Parts: sequence; structure tokens; C-alpha cells
Amino acid sequence: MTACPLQIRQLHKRFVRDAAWVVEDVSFDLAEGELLTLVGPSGCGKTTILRLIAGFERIDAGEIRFGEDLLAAAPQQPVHIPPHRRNIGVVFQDYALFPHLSVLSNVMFGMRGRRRSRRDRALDLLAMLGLRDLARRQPHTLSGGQQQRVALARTLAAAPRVVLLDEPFSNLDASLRETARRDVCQLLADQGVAAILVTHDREEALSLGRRVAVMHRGRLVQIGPPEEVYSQPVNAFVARFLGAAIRFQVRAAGTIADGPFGRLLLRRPVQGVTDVVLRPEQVTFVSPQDSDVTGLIVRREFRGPVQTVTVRIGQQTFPIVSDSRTAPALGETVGIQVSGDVLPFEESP
Amino acid sequence: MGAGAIAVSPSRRPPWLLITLALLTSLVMAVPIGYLVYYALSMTDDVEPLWSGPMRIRWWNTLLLMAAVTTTVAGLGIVASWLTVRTNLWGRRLLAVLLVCPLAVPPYVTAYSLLGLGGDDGLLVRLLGADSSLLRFWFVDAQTGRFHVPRLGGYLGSWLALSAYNFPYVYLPLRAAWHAIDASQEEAASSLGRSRAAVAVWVVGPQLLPALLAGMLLVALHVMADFGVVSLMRYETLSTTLYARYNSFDTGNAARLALVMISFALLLLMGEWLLLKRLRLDRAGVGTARIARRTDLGIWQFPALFTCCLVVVMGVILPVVTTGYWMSTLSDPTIWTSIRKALWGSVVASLPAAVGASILAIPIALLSVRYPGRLTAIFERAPLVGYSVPALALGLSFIMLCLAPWMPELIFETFYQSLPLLVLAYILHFLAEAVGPIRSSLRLTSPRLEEAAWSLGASPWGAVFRVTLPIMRHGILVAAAFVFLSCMKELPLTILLAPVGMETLARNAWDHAENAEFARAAPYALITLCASAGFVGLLLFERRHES
Repeated sequence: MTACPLQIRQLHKRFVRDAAWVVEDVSFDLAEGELLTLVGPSGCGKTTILRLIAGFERIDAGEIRFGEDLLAAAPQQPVHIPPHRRNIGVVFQDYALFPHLSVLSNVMFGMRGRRRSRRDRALDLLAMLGLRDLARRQPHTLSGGQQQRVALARTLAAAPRVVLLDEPFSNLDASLRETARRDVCQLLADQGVAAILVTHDREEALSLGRRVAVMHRGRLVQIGPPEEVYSQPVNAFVARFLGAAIRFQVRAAGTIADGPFGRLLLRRPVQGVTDVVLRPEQVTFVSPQDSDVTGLIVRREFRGPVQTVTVRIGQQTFPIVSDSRTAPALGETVGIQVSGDVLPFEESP
Repeated sequence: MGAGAIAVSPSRRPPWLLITLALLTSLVMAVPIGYLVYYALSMTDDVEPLWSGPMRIRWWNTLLLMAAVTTTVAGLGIVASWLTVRTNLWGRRLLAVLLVCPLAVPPYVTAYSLLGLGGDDGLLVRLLGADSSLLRFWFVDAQTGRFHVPRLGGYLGSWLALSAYNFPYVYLPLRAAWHAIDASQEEAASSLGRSRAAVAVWVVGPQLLPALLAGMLLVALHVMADFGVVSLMRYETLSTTLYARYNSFDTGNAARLALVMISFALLLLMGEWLLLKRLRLDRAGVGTARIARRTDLGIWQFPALFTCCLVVVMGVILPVVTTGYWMSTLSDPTIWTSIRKALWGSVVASLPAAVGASILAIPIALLSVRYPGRLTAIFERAPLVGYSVPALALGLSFIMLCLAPWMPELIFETFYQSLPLLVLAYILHFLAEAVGPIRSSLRLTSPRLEEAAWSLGASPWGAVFRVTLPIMRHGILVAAAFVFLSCMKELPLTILLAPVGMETLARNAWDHAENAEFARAAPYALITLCASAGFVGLLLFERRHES
């Protein structure tokens, strides 16, 4: 990584004294022009991190730095630069457009300079987003997608060092969401501004982020490129949160383990009984003769292009996603093959 | 993390300036009332018994009137709200609006019009003629043969006037409650085998009850505090006694009566708070309610229409027609100077009160919406206390404070019997009306707006002036209008606190009506009626605007 403009170190935050941390020991860097997605279940503290970086909340411990500038530090020699002096842009979940100002005035709000030049730059920016015709409109007359683009334009117009986006797509229709995601990422890339996008949607997190940070109960559990986080989760929570996962017990001896799915290859050596996680797409159905492991199909749920097939192996049942066209029939006995290695866990989350 | 959880994060301390302003308002509210309580409790000479002797009758009168008016409007309110929301009553849309209109007639104007209706020289006799067979049929004494049309007064007149005025205070919340009931609940109950009566008692009733009780408590409060109606009707209650004691310079006993009325009012207010707490719980989780099928009234259309029209006639048509008639008989041209003077007096007192109340309401509204907490809950309730303390008692407490022996001469000279004191009393009494609209204008907007302004580089004060205040502008204007119109029609505070020689609309209307000078009272009554109608028009407009 080249430069690390935004540095977060050992961030701690709680809202009630002596209560559990809402954000606990979170550290990460944001590279120049990078888009980082912060993902986790609701209540995991991801929005709080955003609000701490923006300066809406004070940190209890840790440090936030941008390049040479110290933005916040605690508890020794506490520093808290107020939000309006941080030059960090925020796009809110509900967009927070100023209802008493026109679209143009909203975009001009955070700009500096002479009125004429602000106006011209705002109009340019609106034109770039295809919103030129809406400049005179009031925010409440716009559709959700338009409001969102105006909110982004307003944030970018203030030329922020970093943009923080708090669930920016969650208030949009599913049909609009795809294009909105594409447009927003394109625009952020064009402007070359680094951004942190908070979401609870795992597909959004994996598809948009250059890096993905997974949060759980106030802690940053794993951070890395999407492919890595998906295929090499550090624990069962990350594995299950980022995609469908089958979890079961095996008896391991080094990198070899035996369990309901037969003999499996472990990613790292373990001894004794351990939990492993398997992605459903690693499982394929073959004819019973071609495999040591066989199972009985006890249930099928049609889901369009794929089907969830529940297979019983011995006493245990496992849901497995299968292509609709080739999915085995109910009551059929199938052979089961597992491709690739599986991830063992020492601790239970 | 849910948006609501962050909006009220306790780590944000409210700005000290807001706290100071709100605290000051609460103090100005608390000091006179506190002094009145102290004064009333510490006096020992010439103590008039509060419960026995002639006071017993006044207590009885007050309680009887409270009970009668409250049950009357409750019964009428239930029937009328059901009729306009859940049946196919003819003209129900128009009636839904008309039934709110009694709010627009100050109760002392209704009382005045009822008084002007009867009597040997009243409106009835003048319109129908003294030899009208209809009147003679009803009003000739069978034994003496003497023709005499009695004047509505006393208990009966007070009951009619106060019931007519207070009806909307029960009708409006009940209508809202009817609308909030999801019809599918009733259908669910029916499908579970409950009869229509059982559904009404066990499903509908409990959901209407909080609204009904809250409305009834408010009405009880109004009736207890009323002075205009009972004084015109010559019906002796606690408030007329208070006024009589004050007028005979017996401030000690007046203060004790005021203390009793204040305690009574706070008791009712507390009941209201407990109910509202439940009311909020009841409304939680109600999604979009399904509209119920309307009951076909059939032959019952006529009695139903008659009931609704009766309310409208008593509460609106009668006062307007009577006042209009007396106005038309007015021939004295010199009265116009007096009207101008009274109008000017009312405006001069009401305008600064409206401005002051809206300004003082801003910190209270900001604190209660943006920084909810224990401390701000006190600030939020202070205006409600000022609103529910009977106006006579509030006015008296200000006078007592000015007359306090330790009060510096300078303050006494400046404030006693002065316009600023009247304005201050108006502000404290009507502050609650100003907080409401400002608060709802704030609630309509996301607390993220200020944060958005900060993140765009606006300083905290810059955000207040560039974002928060412009957003609240509409609410502030509405608040000022509400307070202005309320002050224009306010009677007891004006009677007690207006400087000597100052004429106002409400005071003149009441003075002339007291002396049975119905024609002379008419123009003042008519103008206060217009101010009041403006108030209700604004209220209805705002309700529609918000929904």
C-alpha cells in the first residue's frame, strides 16, 4: 500500500459508562483513493465507527489521524477536532438534504469561494451526475435515487479528504440499487477520493469494496480483499456472515480430517475434534457409485436458478445449493464430493 | 445500528446557552407560583374556611359543573366521532369540520350569546315579537298570566356554554382514535366468534379509552379554570370566589383559593401525563390502518343528524347569529373610537407576547427534540404547567409577587399594573401553544441535518443559522400566530393584569356583557370571535398540512 492517509488506531467507544464497548480496539488504514466496505450485522458498531471518524461522537480511547493531522485522540492528551474542521464528507442513510434549500443551494452549501464560481462548479458537478435539470427543484420533489445522487454531489462539492457513506443504498428500490451502486463507485473512482462504505448487505460489501472489513460485536474481525475474506474467513462468524456455510465436526489428524463428508483436506493442521466450515458450492452431487459418501435427498426448495437441497448423511442433515437443472430428485440417493480444502476452527464463536 | 439509537446518544451534551434559556423560562414560571404557595401557606390572619360554610356550595357548584360538562361532551363526543368516522351519515365530511368549529368561539362569547337570547328584551322576543303565540305558549305564567321570558343563566347557562365550547376537545382525540383503530382487529375479533357488542366493548373500547379520558381531563381542567362563563352566568364557583376576594383586597384568601385551584389543576395534569404515556404505547406499532366498512344508519340518519347539528348550533351558529344581530342594532357612532382603542390595546399586548413566546419556545423545543433526557423533560413540562395553571391563579401570583414586601421599589414601580407584566403572563400561559408547532417542525426533519452541515464545514453556530432556524421558520411563524390569537381572546389574565385604563377586546366584551349591554358588547365579541376563528382555521390547516 502506498500512502495511508487515514489511520485508525485502537479505537474504543461506549455510550454508557462501564457498559460493554460499542466499538472495541478497532485499527485499520485507508489508502489513497481506496474504497473500503465496512460490513457487519446491525448493531455491530459499524455506523458508530463512521460517526467517530466524522467527529459526531467523541472517542473514548484510541487515535484517528489523517496524514500528519491528529483528528482525535484519547484518553491521554485528548484531542477532538470538531466535525466542521475535519473536511471529511458524509453521505447519510436518509441523505439529510436540507429541505429549505434547492438542489443547487444544497450542493453549494459546503463550497468555498465566490458565489459565482461556487455556482458554476456546483452546476458542473450536477451536470456530471446527470442532475443539471433538477438544480432549481426542492429536495422533497425528487425521487430516492435522485436525492441520493444530490447528497453525493453535495458531499463531493466540499472537496473532502475522505467520504464516509452510511448505508447509502438501503433506502433505494432493489431495481435502482444496482445502477446506484455502479454510479457511486464510478464517481468516487473518478474523483480519486478515498471512501468508507458502511453496509449490512454482504453482496454489496463484497462486490464494491477494494477491501472488506467485517465487524462483529464492536470488533474488527477481518479485513482484506473480498476474495480473501470470502474464501479464507478467520472464523465461523465471518464464514457464515459472508455467504452460506455448512458447519460440522470432524476428527482431525494434521491436515487430514474425517467426518460426515468423508475424508477432507484441512487448510491448516489441527489435532483432535474440531469444527470446520464448508461453502455449499464446494459440494457436488455425483452418482452413488463414484463416491465413498452417500446421502439421501430429504427436501427440495426451488429458488429459481438454484435449488436448496437438504441431504441426509448418517444422522445429520445439510442444506446444499445446487443448480436447478441438475439438482437430484426427492428421495434419491446421491454420491457426494467435496472440492478444495476446508477451514478448521479452534474456538467456537 | 438503528438510526434512532444514535440520534439520542447521551454522549452529546446540550449546549449551555439552550440550557440557560430554558432554565430561565422555567424559573420565571416557578417563582411567582412558588411565592403564591408560600404566601398562601404562611398566612394566619382572617383565614376563611376552605371547605365549610359558604365555600361548600362553591365547591359543590364547581364539581357539579365539571362533572356535568365532562360527561356531556364525552357522550356527545363518542356518538359524534363514531357517526362521522364509521357511518354513512349524510354530510359527514362537512360535519367533521363543523364539529371542530365550536373551538373558534371563546366560551364567554357563547355565554354572552346565550344571555342575549332570552330575557324580556332578548333576541327571541325581538325577533318573534312580544305577542308571538309560540313564546306566549311557553313563557306565560299560568297562574299570574304574566308574560316573562327567563334569561338562561346560572348552572344551566354555564353548562350549555361550557359544553358547547369544550366539545371539540373530546371529539378531536376520539376521531383520531377511531381512525387509528385497524379495522382488521375488529374483523379478527368477529372471526374469533365475538358478537358486535362484545367487539365494541373488548376491542374498540379499550383503544378509545385513553383518548377519551385524556380529552375529558382537559375539559375538566378548562371548566375548573373558567372564569368568563361562570362570572357572566352569575354562577358561583371557586374562580368567581377568587376574583371576588381579590376585588375586595382580601389577597390572602384569594391566594389560598388560587393554591387550591393550582393543586387541582396539577392533579388533573398529572392524570393527563399518565394517560398520554399509555397512549403513546398504544399507538406504537400501528401500521397503515385499514378503513372499516361504514355502518348504514338507515332510519337513524335523522336523529344522528339532529345530534350533530345541535352541537354545531349551540357552539357556532347561535353565538355568531346572536352577536351579529346585536351588532346590527348598534347605532351609537362614538363606539368606533372605543373599538379602535380596544383593538389597539389587544394588539399591543398580544403581539409582543407572540414574539416573546415563540423565541422562548425555540430552546425548549430544540432541547426536547435533539437532546431528550431527564433535565430536558422538566423544561418540556414547564410550559404545560403554565398552561394548565388556571389563568386567574397565574395572574394573581404575578400580582402577589409584585406586592411582596421584599420586592425592590424599582421592580414594583416598573411592573405592577404594567403592560410588560401582562405580556409576561401571556407568554408563560401560552408558551405551550408555541412549543408544539416548533417542536413538530423540528421532528419532521432528521437530526442528521445539522451533522450534514458540520461535515460540510459549517460551524455549530453556522449550522444553527444556516440550517436549523430556516427549517424551523414555518413552525415559529405558526407558533407566533397561535399565541397571538390566543392572547387576543384571553379574558381572566387581561382582567387581572391589564394596566388601569387600558381597553382590550376581551375585557370590553366581558364588561358590557356583565352589565347586560348586549349591543355594546357585540363588536368586541365579534372581533375576538374572528381572532379565535383564525386560530382554529390555522389549527385545521396545520393538521392537514402535517398529514
